[in-house]
Amino acid sequence: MVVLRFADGTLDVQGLPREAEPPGCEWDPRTLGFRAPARAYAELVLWLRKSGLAYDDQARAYSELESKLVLGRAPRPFQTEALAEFRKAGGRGIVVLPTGSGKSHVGVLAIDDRRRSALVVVPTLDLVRQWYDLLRTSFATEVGIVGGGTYELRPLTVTTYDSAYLHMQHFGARFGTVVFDECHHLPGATYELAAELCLAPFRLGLSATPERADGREAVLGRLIGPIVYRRDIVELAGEYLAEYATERVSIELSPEERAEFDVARKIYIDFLRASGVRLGSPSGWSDFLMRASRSEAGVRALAAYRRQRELALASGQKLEYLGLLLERHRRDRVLIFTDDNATAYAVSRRFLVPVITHQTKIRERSEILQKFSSGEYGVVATSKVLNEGVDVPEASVAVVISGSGSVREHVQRLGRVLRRREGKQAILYELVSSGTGEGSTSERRRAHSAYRSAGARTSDAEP
Amino acid sequence: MLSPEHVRVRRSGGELQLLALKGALRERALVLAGELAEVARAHLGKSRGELEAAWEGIAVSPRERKLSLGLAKLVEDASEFESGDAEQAAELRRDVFALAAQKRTTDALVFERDAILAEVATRRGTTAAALEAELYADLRSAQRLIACQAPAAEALVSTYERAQVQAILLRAVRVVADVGCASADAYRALFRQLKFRRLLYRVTPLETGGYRLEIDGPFSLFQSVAKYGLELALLLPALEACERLSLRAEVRWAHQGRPLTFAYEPSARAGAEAKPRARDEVAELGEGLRELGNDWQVEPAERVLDLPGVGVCVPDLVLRRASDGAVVLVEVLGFWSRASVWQRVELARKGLGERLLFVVSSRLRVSEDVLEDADEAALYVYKGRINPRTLLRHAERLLELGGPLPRRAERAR
Repeated sequence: MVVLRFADGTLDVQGLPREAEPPGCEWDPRTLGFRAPARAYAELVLWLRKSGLAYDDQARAYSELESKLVLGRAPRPFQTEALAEFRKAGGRGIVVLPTGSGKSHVGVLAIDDRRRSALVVVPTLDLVRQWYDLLRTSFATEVGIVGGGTYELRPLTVTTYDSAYLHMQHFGARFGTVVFDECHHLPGATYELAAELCLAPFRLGLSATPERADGREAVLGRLIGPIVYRRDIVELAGEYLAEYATERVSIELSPEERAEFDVARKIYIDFLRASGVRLGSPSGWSDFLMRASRSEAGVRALAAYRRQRELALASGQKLEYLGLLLERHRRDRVLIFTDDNATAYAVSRRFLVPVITHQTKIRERSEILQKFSSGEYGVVATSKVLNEGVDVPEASVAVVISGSGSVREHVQRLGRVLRRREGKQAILYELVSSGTGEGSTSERRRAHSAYRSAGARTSDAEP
Repeated sequence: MLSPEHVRVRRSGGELQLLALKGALRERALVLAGELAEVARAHLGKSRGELEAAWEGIAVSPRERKLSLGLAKLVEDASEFESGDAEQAAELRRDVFALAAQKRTTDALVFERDAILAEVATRRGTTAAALEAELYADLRSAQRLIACQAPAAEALVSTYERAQVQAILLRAVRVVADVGCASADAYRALFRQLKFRRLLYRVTPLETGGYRLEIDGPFSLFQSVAKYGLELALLLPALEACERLSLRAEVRWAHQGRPLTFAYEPSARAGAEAKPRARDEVAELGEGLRELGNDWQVEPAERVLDLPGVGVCVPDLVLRRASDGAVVLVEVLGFWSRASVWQRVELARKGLGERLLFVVSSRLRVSEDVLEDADEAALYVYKGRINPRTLLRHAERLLELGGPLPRRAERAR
């Protein structure tokens, strides 16, 4: 009799002769048996059945989902199509839809369709809260949470990628369906293990932008399944998403800031030249850090680099301009994005607006978002934690004070104001310090159809 | 635990080497350790942000940077911080932001920040400056230092040296440790830790005595992952408790860099600190057996019997019959748990390739009949104290009943 056990995120297969070739398995000399990543469970069970081998499945610990979908919301046509394609692919695949179009609803439909206990994995605690509410209301049942100091497992459970990586080896056999929300987070040395150590035969990935700068989206096929359905922002804008415009504003540094910026930049550039470091090369940045740690000049160059960057990303002139925008949009719901926490707190102190960073406690986050949604707060500042995870249909203005060169981050920030509401016209402002190198960062992150399409108004403006 | 930015290493080919703290640099480390702790103690009652700024103010050369950061981290770990009243700060923010939001949407005039702060301050009976200072009093940087128990400089530097090894093992994907223990209990403690940390291993005897343990985790069979790094780092004290230890680890040090090898042998002093000795009941039994002065020779066992996938058995004593050289190994379980007895029973049934006598107290309520059908192992259940004569009778019976020993690999299959 072949015995299958779930062993810390792997499948321990005992009772097969050494010469057998079970799929996805390798012979483990440490336990004198075969072993496979838990991900291979479905394939292995199908092979055992096909081979006619008697087996005792002690691995599977998931159950049929008793709760039924009670929310009567009719799916949009593209959501129905997405579910059909997911089914056709055997319950394994990725659905790519723009932020604000209702990706989560596709997840709910898929969970209901598969009828197995389900785990939803999300990148942030804000999304944990959102999915928790969504599942609770959709299935009218209690929902478990693992993350943010809570560890409660239920047939429907929401967790973060961090917690999934840490705990999947313990609870990875308890779910028959796993939904990886914002699944572009999954590829990577650590998070990938969340998918490898999970036994769930049914796997759904949701993302607006599965592509990654490092090209590792290729592993998503192995970890989840192929892309089974895809629609872009420009295909859904107007009908299912709000109409929007983007406006890039070039802002001069003040004369004092410019003088300080030039001095700092010269110190850092001179050091790069003298030490022969080419930042454009793949190892350029780590070479710079390594050389900077070896001499007094290097230490000065690193400090100068940080200062000139700080001046470009959070110049006093940008904050001045932000004041003008807040005046202009005083009756709109405004989200302010920064690249770092220090700037987010500076915005909060200067304009007396609430801020959400990784240091904000869950209860206060919820309260801020609830008041933002109700209109009690008109403005919320944040660094990166709300790039994904805030779902406020009323938000119509995004101001990007600073950010990385990531296309995904920029598209996600735009997505935060795209949820459709009658008569809504969304706008995203991007503040860029001119003559600082931030312009090229901006160019990199705007390399997406959402910023290039004819449907999107894009204009450069001088203050 | 320290992070890579605290650890002084160099790469040499495929090796990751710790840079030794010696000579003038060690002297400097002692000075720095003293200064960092002194600055911390001088900042009692002040904020974490102020303490960190003061530490930044201590002049260090680029070469000393990691050392300084690492020592500061250890001082921080030995300190206690108190958070501001989070509820009060959140309430303050609620008041300020609500009024600001209201003014922003209703007032036709330009947004007056100072007026808003003054209005909330008046309502709360404080000043605008005090209110502004308290607005984010619950952030990490605003936490107050209330105690600092940093040890003396010498101890702090020693802690830093050991913490560096753990920080490296945190990035390890696999550890190969050559260990030698002076007693069965020390081996058992090590294997208990391995089991507790849910690590997997292969055990190979070394020609020079002791064993080679190849340690990693279940998933390591498919991919070199640092997932088990924390467990490997936390295993270090158990490995260091062995009398002899020579360790090599495969380490993912840089984010996307190639794997490096890290070698570590603790100083003789570290191993000697935890030198184990036999348990009293084992020592007493050994003495009692010797006093009988019969055909049996008694010596401490130095063997680890590993049955992959089932477990490990570490006998305490070797009984050798002088007349024919036949050997029976004895493991004294005494008052341990029933679970440990059942694990030995399973091991015995699967075949350890040796004749074993497990000695168990009757308080564990296990019958000797449990292993009646096994020809390689037996249970001796004693009441009160272990009787050496009775034990030898069990050993004689085991040799009489048992046929030739099969090879372990055959039995394991």
